[in-house]
This record gives sequence, structure tokens and C-alpha cells, in this order.
Amino acid sequence: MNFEDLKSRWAKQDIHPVDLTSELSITRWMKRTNTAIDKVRKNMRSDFWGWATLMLLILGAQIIAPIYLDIPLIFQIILGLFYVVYLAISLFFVVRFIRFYRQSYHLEYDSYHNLMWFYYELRYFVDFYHAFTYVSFTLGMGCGLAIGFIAGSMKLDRGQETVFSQWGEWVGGVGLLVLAAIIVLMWIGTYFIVNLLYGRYLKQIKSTLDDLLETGNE
Amino acid sequence: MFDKQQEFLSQIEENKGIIYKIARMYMDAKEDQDDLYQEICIQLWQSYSSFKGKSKFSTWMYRVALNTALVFVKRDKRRTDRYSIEGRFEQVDEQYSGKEDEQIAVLYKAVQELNTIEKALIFLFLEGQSHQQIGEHLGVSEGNARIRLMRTKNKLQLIVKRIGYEF
Repeated sequence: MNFEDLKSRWAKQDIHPVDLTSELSITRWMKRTNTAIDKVRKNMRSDFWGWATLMLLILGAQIIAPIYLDIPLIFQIILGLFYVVYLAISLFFVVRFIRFYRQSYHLEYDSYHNLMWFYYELRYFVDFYHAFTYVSFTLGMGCGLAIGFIAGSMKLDRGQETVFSQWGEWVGGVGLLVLAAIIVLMWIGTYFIVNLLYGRYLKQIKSTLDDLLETGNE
Repeated sequence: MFDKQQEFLSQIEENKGIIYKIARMYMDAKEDQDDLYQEICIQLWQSYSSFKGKSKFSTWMYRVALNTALVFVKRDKRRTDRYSIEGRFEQVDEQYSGKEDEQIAVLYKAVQELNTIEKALIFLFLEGQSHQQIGEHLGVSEGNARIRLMRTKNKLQLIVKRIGYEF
């Protein structure tokens, strides 16, 4: 195989480029991006808006529910407290999230630096995402336990007994088991969702990076 | 904005061969080649503000275009997975048959068996880039680029022989 001959044929080959100017304007091209980086960014945007909607819905429910329902003040305080703590933790996450989102394009770097930068930032982001999810579930569980324990200890209307003293403390145990099962299922679900949204692109970048880092045995 | 867009489009027009060759090297199916071609144009436009004119437009373009090809995701995976490696060589490429230099057509088919980095090495070599320039584009040392390129050329020769060509 004569590579020098191939090189000269390469330079002379006919080209059949896509006529972009007649088919699409630059603005329309922007909507059709399809790289691993863009896929990650798109999923990040969806995640962000999902989180923002959820936070607004919870806030709205906390404001509106006490107007129509007879919710004891202690529950409102507990829910409000957990909401503020969760919001503070979320904001810490969101700041990092936005920083990564805004800096995720470095295509003008050489391939090694471009891939390496994106790979480590994305891996860090995924780890952070997992940590955030676990913290969220732990907080949710804490909130559920606090409300469940207080509710179980409150005196019932028709007598002076509590739920625990009337039905036995096993009710609390069952409640705890149900809550634990929900948490475990949500953890597993989160693992698969994070893998689906980000993990597969992380694997793609890692595989390319591995090919690039393969030693040349100098 | 309009002037910048026009300037960009004229730069693309002058260097469209680079985009075309990368798209064809990295994607086997015509639809995927067109997708990658468009994707490279999008990414070039998005990164255009980072082009300061310190190097030639084509030099900057090699980097952005190759980096885009390295992270490109095919739109419909099932469509392209239908084709086996052997099947690709048996197929008559309707679009290019009869019009194109046979060696170039065989080369494009053979490089489909290389990994993304090997494709980049062969592409930059065929574009006349030196070992030092190849190393700079990929972010590896000159020596590493030289050794990797030599191995990739050997691998490519074996693939070409296996599919029944000798040139």
C-alpha cells in the first residue's frame, strides 16, 4: 500500500458536501445538535426545569394546603423546616450544575484536553448528582419519620389514647419498613435514571479517551 | 451578526472538503455522514467566537471538526447497526460507484474498522499534517503520534488486504 500515492489521490478526490445554505439556516441547525456533550446539556436542562417545577409545587402546596385542610401547626413547621434545608442544599448543587453547564464546550482545545476536561467534569457531576439524590432521600425519610412519630404519639379525638398505644407500636415499625422500601426503590430507580441520562455518554467519552491514551510504547 | 454569519459561511465554503472528508471517514451510512456534516457546521459556528485568527482557519477547523466527530452520537443507532462489517464490503455503494477513485472508495470502507482515534490519525496524515501537528491536534507527543500512526497504517493495510484489495 503506497500511502504517498494515496495522499495525493486523497487531495484530488471529488467532494459532495451537504448544501446547508439552501436547506437550513444557522438558527435552525442549532436545534439539531447531536453530540454526547449536547445530549448531556439537554438532559441537564430537563433536570433543572424538573427540579425547579418540583420546588415550586412543594412551596405552593405548603402555602395552599393549610388554608383548605386542618393541618396541625407542628406538621407545617416540620415540613417548612425540611423544605428550607432541602432548598439550601439544592441551591449549592444548582450553582455547580450551572457552572458545569456553561463551561462544557471546549472543542477548540486539542482532543486530549477537550475529552479529559469533559470526562472528569461529567464524572464529578454524576457523583455529585448521586450524592445529592441520597441526601434528598435521607432528608425525605427524616421528614417522614418525624411526622410519623409525632402523628403516632398524638392523642386521638375520641379518647386520650395515641395511635401507638391503641394499635401497638408495631404500626410504627410497619410504617418504617414501608418508608425504607420506598427509599430503597427510589435509590435503585435513581441509579438507573442517572445512568440513562448521563452514564452512557460518560462511557462513550471514557472509551474514546482510553483509545487516545493507549500508550505508543515510546 | 449578519456579516459574521456571512463571513463564517464563506469560510465554511472554502474549507468544506475538510468537513466532508471527516464526515465520510467517521460515518459509514450516507444519512449519518450528512448528520455529522451538519453537526460539525453547528459546532464550528458555536465555537466561532473562539477563533481569534492567530492560526489559519483550517487549522482551527481541524480541531473543532475532529473533536465533534469524536463525541458525535448517531441519531438512529438501529439503522446503522443493521450493517455488518462484512456486509458493508459486499454492498455496492450506489452513490459513489463508478464516479470515484477506487482506492479512495476502498479506503473509506476500510477505515470504518478503525477506532475513532485511529481515524483521526489517518485523516490528519492524509491531509498532509506532520507528526508534530498531528500530536498537537490530538494532544499527544510527536513521538506518540508517529508510533500510533505507523501502527494504524499497518492495521489499515491488513484490513485492505483482507477485503481483497492491494494497492
